[in-house]
Amino acid sequence: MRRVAIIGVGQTKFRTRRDDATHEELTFEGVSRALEDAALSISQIESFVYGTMDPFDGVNSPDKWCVGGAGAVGKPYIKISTGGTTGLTTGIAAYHQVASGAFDIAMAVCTQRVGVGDDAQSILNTCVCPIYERDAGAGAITVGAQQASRHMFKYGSTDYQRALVSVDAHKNALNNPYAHIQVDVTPEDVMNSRMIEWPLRLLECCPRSDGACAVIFASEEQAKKLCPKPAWVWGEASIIDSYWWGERPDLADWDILSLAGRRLFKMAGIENPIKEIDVAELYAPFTSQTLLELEALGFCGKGESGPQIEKGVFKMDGEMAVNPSGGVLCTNPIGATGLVRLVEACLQVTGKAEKRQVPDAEVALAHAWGGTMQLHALMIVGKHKR
Amino acid sequence: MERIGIVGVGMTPISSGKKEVFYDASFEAARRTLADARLDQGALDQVVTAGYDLACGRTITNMYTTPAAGGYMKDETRISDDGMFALAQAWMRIGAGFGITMCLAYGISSEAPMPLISNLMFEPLFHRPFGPYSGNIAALQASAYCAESKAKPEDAALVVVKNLKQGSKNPRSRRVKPVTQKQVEKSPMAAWPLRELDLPSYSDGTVGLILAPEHEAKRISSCPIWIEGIGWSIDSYYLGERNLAELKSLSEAARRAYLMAGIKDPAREIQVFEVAEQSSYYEIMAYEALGLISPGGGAKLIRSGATELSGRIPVNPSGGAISADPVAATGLFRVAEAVLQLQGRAGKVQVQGAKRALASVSSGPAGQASCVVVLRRD
Repeated sequence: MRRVAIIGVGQTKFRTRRDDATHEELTFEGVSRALEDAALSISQIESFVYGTMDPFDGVNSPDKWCVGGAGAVGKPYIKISTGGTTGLTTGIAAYHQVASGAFDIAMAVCTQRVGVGDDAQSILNTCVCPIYERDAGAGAITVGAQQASRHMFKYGSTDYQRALVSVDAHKNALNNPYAHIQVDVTPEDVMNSRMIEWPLRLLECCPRSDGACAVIFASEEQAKKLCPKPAWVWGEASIIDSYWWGERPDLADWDILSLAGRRLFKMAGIENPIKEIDVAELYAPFTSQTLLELEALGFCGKGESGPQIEKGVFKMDGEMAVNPSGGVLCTNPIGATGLVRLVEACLQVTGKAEKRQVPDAEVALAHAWGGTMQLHALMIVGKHKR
Repeated sequence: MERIGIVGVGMTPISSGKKEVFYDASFEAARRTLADARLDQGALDQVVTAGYDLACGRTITNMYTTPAAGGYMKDETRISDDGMFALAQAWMRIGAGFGITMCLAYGISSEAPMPLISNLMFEPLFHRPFGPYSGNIAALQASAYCAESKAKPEDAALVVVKNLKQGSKNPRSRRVKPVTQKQVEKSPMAAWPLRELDLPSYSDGTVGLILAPEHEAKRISSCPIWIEGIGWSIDSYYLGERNLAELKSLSEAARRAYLMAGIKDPAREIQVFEVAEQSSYYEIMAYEALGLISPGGGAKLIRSGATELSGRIPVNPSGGAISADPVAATGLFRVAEAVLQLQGRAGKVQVQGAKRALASVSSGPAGQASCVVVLRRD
C-alpha cells in the first residue's frame, strides 16, 4: 500500500436551495474550487469518484448527468452511495484508488441538492422497512431522539449540555464562510426553540443544504511534486452494524463506532486520541450525537461527554476542537456532508482554515454516519507523514 | 500490485421477481458464494456491494444488503451502479491492503416500473418530459448505427437468435425458449427499430464473487481466476455531444483493460466474451468497440457465425442480457459466467478449453459508462 496525500480541497457555499445552478453546475463549482486549491488542471486528474444519495434529489444516478460538470468525460468514473456516510466513503474510495497504485491522482466529488426534493425526512422514511416501520414515521430524527433520551436516562446528560453543543457549533459556523446556518445562539435560545422530537429541539437539529465539494488525492511522489503543504492520510475505516436497531445492546453507547474507531486508531498509530488528535469533525446532525460520538471514539469516558462539554474541553480553544466548521448541525448536504468533514480536517492541518483555524492543528479526524445509526466512515489526516 | 483472484461464485436463480425481498436474495447469493469458496462469513475482510436504490424502492439499500452479504461489523462500501464497477473498486481496495472480499450485486427490476426508473436518470427540466428511457435511447443508438454501418434489423435478429439459443440452455435465464429470426422480426415493436426481443429481459437476480489477493487465493481455490486487466470509463451525458454510432466508453474501457493485460489482438488472445448487451444492436457495436473486428464490420461478424458457441470467438455463451437482465447485477453476472467458463463449470454452455475471458457492461443511456475486465486461469 502506498502513502497518499490530499493536495487540494474545494467546497461551495451551502444554502437551503441553489436555484441558480443545476446539479451539474454545482458539481462543476465544487470541482473547480478543488482544482484551484491544488493549482491543477482537470487533465491531471486520472480518475474520479462521485458520491451522492440519489433519492434526495429526485434524480436516479445523477453521476451520469454530472459527468461533464465533474470534468470526467473519457476517464474512469465510479459512483458511491452508502447513506449518510456517502461523502466520506467517496473520499475513502478515491484514497484506495491511489493507495492501491491504480492511479496517481484521483478526485472525490460529492454533490447534493436536498432543496429540490421532497422533505428530506419523508425520503429518509423510505429507507426503513415499508411494512413494519415506515408508517411509524421512522427517520433520522427518530433515531437521534431515541439515542438522546437513552443517553439522558443512562448517563444523566442534560438539555443544557446538549444546548452547549449547539451554541459552540453555531459560534464556529459564524467563522466559516461556507456554512449554511450562520446565527449566534445562546443556551436559552436552544432550550426555548420549538420541540421537534423529544428531547431534540429545532436548534439541536441540522438543516438540509444544497452544495458540492471535492477532494484531490495523490500518491506520495506526485504530492511532493505538486503540493508544498499536503494533508497526509494516516488511516481510514468503515463499518456496518445490523440494520435492526432493536438488536443494538444499548442505544446510549455507539458500540459499532467504538469498534471502527479502534481499527482506525490502530491503522493511524494513535494511542491516546484526545492527546494526539487536535481537531475532530464529527458527523452530528443532532446535538445528542456529538455526546455519543465523543464517548464512542474515546475522546472521553462513557457518560463524561456532558460534563466535559460544560468545561469547554471541545471548544475552539479547548483540548481538542470539535467541529470548527460549525459541523453538520449548521450544514447538511446529506450525500456530501461526509466529504465536507474531510475538507475541513484538511484545511485545519494545512493551516488554511482562516478565521476558524485551530492553532497548531497537526492531526484531524473526519467522521460520518449513515443508515439507522448503522454505518460509519472515518479518516485521519495529518500535517506530517506518518 | 499483487495479483487478485476470484475464488468463489454464487448466483441466485433468475426470476421475474415477487419471490424474495432483495436482502433475502442477497443473503442467498452470499451463502452460495461462500459455500462455493468453502469459506465461512468470518473469513471475509470486507464487503463491496452494488445496486440501485430507486430500483429497489428503498433509500440506502446497502443498510440491508451489506449485512446480508456477510458484512456485519466489517468494512464496507456500495457502488450505485452495475456490480462490475464494484468489482473494480473491490480490486483497488484489495490492492490497498484488504484481504478476502465479498463483491455482491443485487439486481432488482420487479419492485419498480423500470422504464420510469430509467427515465428518472435524465435531466429533469428539458430532457425528462420527452420520455427518454434506456429502451428508446437504445433505439436511437441502433438507428444511428444502422445509418453509419451497413447493419440491418436481420443482423440484430441474429444476435437475439444466438443469445436466446444459449439462454434456453442456461438455467440462469428468464427467456427460456429459443426463437427464430422470423419470430424476432415479428415480435412487437418496442421503440423503432427495436422490437421487444431486441431489448434485455428485466429480471431479478443476485450474484456474489469472492476475491482474494494471490497468497490467499491459492490457498482457497485450486483454480483461482485472475483479474488480468480491468478498465472503466464514461462518455458525455448529452446525447447530442456523442456519436451514438460508436460505443466510446466501452472501447476506452477495453483499451485500458487490454493495456493492463498486455493484449494486442483480443480476437485471438481471448476465448470467451460475456458482454452485457443493452440491445441486440449494441452487441454488434460491441464487437467493434472491443476490437474483435474493425469498425463497421460488426454485422459481418454476426452473420459469419463466429460469435456462436461453436464459433471462433464465442460471445455471450450464457445468453447475455437478452436472456436475463437483473439491472445492476447484469455485468457481475457476466463476470460470474466467465469465471465458470474458465473453470470448466459452465455446463451446457461450456466453451471448450478457454484460458482467457472478457466480461463487459455498460450503464447509463446508450452505453454512456462502461467497464471491461479480462480474466485468465493459470
